[in-house]
Amino acid sequence: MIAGCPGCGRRHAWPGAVPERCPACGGGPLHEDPEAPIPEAELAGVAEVDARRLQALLETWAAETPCRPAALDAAALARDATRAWWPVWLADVDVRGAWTAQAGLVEDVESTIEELQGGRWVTRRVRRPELRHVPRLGTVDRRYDNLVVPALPAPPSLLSTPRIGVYEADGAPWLLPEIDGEARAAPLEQAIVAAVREDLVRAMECRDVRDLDLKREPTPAFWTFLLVPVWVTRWTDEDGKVQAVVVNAVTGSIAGRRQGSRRQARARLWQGLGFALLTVFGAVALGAVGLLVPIVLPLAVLALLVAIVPAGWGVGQLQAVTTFNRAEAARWTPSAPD
Amino acid sequence: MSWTPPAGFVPAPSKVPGIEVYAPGQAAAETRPTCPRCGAPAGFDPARGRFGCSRCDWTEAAGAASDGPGTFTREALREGQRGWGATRKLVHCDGCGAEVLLPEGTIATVCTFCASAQLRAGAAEEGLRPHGVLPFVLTPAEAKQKARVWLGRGWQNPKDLDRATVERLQGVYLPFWRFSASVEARWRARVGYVHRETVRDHRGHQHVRETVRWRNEDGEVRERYADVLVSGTEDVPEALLARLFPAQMEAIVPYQPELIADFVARAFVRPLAEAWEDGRGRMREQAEEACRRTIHGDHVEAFAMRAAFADERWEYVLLPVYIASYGYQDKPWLLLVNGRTGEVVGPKPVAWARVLLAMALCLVPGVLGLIVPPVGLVLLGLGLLAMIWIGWGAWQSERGAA
Repeated sequence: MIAGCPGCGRRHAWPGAVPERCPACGGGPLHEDPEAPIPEAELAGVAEVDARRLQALLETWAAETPCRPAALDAAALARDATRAWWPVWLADVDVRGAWTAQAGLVEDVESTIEELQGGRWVTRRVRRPELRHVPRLGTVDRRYDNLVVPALPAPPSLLSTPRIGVYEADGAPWLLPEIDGEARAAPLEQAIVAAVREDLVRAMECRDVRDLDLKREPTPAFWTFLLVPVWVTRWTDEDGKVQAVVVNAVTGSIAGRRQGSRRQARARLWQGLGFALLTVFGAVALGAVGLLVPIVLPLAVLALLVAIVPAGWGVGQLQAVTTFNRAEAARWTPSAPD
Repeated sequence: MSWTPPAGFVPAPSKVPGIEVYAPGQAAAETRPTCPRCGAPAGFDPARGRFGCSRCDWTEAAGAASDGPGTFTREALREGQRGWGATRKLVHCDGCGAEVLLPEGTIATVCTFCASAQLRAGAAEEGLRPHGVLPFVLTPAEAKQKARVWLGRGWQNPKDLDRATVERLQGVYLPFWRFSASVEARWRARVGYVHRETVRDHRGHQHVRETVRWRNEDGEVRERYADVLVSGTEDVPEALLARLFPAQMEAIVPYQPELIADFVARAFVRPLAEAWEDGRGRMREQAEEACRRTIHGDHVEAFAMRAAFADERWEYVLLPVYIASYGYQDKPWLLLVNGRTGEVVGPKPVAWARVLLAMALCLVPGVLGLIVPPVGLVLLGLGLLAMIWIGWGAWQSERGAA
């Protein structure tokens, strides 16, 4: 049975009874669509991440968050996690065409530093590696098998499936493809260009390949529908927004947005500034004593210097959370995590 | 799939089956280029700015691929790319020591540089292949016309110089090293600032007293230097060449053997490493000047500077020059014409009698003015300066430096 979530818009195929709540966002109730056709799964990734390992992975993932909020708890995430299948297309295609690119070659170059001292120039020679891009072109005539083409917008790490077997229904729902039919052409071209680029780097033994332009003959692609086993869970951030977390059950890679707690960071900032203020008071007191007993004066100066430490720590906490949250926001969109 | 690589690309190694790689380069052509339509000898036609056939109306745009300017790798400094891409005959002149590369089939009777007939054939040349060529635009007839106009110019030169015959005008591609680099220069110095203050002496008179206040200062300058040209030949005076180039360097096209098929091409004799020393020295001096310009003080002492070079690039280019000689009073004179701009340089005979007369005339107002001493002395001074200027100009003209 196909059912859609009014909250996140995702549609799932449920082999059994449709649950009340969406496994991804926790919204509901799910709208059933008995008429919608269910695509036939041909292959499936072999799950290797069980519930226990899932918690360990989530713990590592969440632990990287500075000022981790209480809701971003690995045990809670693992408890709410449900098994699902993430749809992926695999394409087999013959690539024949011509390419042009700039190959990045690393060269060991000789450079110089000139110093003018006392009216005389002294030359010092230095060697350093330098990346130089040079024009290259040629042809490609190769078959590429199992090119991964997303069926749902997702980061590449989530689509990786080193071990593939035959799909066997296990009661877990599938997420339905949103990229299908003709819409697969553009991501397929991207996958082909990425594969050719990788081969060109190996072929020319260069550091990188840029400005790759591939003009290939139109050849048919053979598609296979693959399901990647995933764990889907969620947590609620400080703004009350539900953040979906998807764990690839084959590789263990995690796609989901983390957020450091701004509240905690602010609290730590005030703590740090409070300690710094107390130390400054202490320094002033020592300074006053120092007027009578001069030997105490260096201690007052030392106390002033020590005050920098808690103040810096507090500012550092806030800075770390702000930077981390910005980086996560930049690479995460609800449709393309990671 | 039918696909052929564009002109100027040759197969390069590939480590992956099914992937063919082509890189800029030239397959060694053992014969002179021919017209693809009629088979007649083909070459670059300066008048049309394209390759053309000597018999039919076939033409093709000039242009090839290139890896671009080279870096200073150990291999580049040692040997670089080898081979001109076409067999060219090496001729050695026992008169001036010049080595000239001639197109295959060309028979040279006199040296392009010294007009000597003591030519000796050498082995076929296999040297560093040029990166780029600045093709000729001027035809020999146009170059000759420019030379005639140039000969007729200048009051200090003999009047009958415009009747001198321009002989043995020959288009030659001269070798140049073209350098570019970024320089990050840091300097420090003691900079003195002059302060003027008005003081009164014990008699109450006001005086302006100057004092210098010294400060330790430092600064940084980042500059990119491009088109620093160092001649690869020692047969043509570099001072003359420096007045012809750089010019129109943006019109340099990647080297193709066909481009220079109908011209004499001079092989470089100054190796890359030696030329780079020279080019780097010039950049270093320009960086020093740039640093000194940022100092606004009145005096500078203990100026020290550190220039770190980065992104250094070199190119071996062939630049078009018509080399000719003209005879005047049984003496041969060298003449160079820029094959693109038509600028003419070279030493010129001087009509010294006329120059000396002009110099003497410069002194006349001063001598007459001696009757009124203060004005006369000023006029005499000015006359002496004018005399020196005229004499210097004439001497430079005779040396070709004017």
